[in-house]
Amino acid sequence: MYSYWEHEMKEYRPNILIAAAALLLIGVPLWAHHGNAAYDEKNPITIKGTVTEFAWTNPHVQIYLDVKDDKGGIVHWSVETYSPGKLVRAGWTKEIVKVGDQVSINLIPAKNGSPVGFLHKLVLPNGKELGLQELEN
Amino acid sequence: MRMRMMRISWVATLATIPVLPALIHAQMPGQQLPAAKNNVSAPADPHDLSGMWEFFANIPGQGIYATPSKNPPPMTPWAKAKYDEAKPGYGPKAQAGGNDPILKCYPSGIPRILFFPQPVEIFQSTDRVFMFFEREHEWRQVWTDGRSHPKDLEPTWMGDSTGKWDGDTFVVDTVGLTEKSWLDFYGDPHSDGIHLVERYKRVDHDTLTLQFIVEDPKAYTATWVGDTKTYKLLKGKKAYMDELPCIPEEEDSFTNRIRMPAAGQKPNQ
Repeated sequence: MYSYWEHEMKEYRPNILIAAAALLLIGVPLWAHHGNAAYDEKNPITIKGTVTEFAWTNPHVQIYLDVKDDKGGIVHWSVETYSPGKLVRAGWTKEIVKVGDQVSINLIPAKNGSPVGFLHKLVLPNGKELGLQELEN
Repeated sequence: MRMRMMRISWVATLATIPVLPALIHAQMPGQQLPAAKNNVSAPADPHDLSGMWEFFANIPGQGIYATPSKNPPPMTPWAKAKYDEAKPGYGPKAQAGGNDPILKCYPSGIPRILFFPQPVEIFQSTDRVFMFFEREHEWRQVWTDGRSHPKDLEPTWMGDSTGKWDGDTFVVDTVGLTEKSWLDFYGDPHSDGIHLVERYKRVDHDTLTLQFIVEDPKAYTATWVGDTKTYKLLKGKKAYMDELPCIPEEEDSFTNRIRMPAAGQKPNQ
């Protein structure tokens, strides 16, 4: 297993223009890569479902949601992201997600196939998008 | 020593410290605050490091969770044994689960706390530079009155730090760090005998750079000179710090509900 830095160097540096173009086209938040061993950073996915719990807590904020699978069944997903302070700087509030909300979440899923992931982007029922970028206003 | 510290007086500084929490809480979410000034090109006094700075990962080559550099010098047998015991969640030997001391709510310590994605506020007085960290609600002081390190220091998480200006670079010299902390997120160890030098430079209004130099003969066979790290100034309503204490129950809940399922392990209890 190698670090984020290493695969960044091996894979992205030689193709920096392609990577930059890809970033513009699909908006993959490279900066949000977490370096956590549990998640498949190279294969983000998007899930849509109904929020069952929004835990605005340290160390990391969590969103739990029910997602319909292809066979009509329900899969209960557990999604984590940054700490509350970082999310406040990125435009979130502790009231921004409510139980029952239909949301869409772009995340990097657990490598082991469990319905657990690290959030990169949240789309609220009104279409508002929330990411993890703190620097820009 | 060419010390040109803050324009505010020492008395004003001391008067401000007790009300810092009030100032911080005055910027709670939901409150309408003036828009941040887009003053990237504004000149900055290179000897004024004050502000709220954050270690960002959206800078090429700089991951969020970091280490002085990805090529540490060779370890001594003492350090290698400690490194072999470490099961970090990040870096070359990253693994799910693990025994990172911060999972037990041990303080991150210096220098590791400087690698977190949470901000650090730098505050200068006439005899000290203070650093307040969102992570762990921790702080440190760097003495700038010319004093030396005390003899026979009992090792602590933040150590004993002195600072002085080398041209436009603020050089922090730290000893007395407990070896209970990891040096970084990758499980690299250090000993109680570590001598850490941090070189800070405000290269423009919004950018602070930092280079670490690690001297620790008990752990490494050569000096470890780190890459240059970059911190960005948080402005306007972004200049907000939360409390981020480590609460064992919150860590345990997060471990049971997220970390263990993500690692393919059955939750405790």
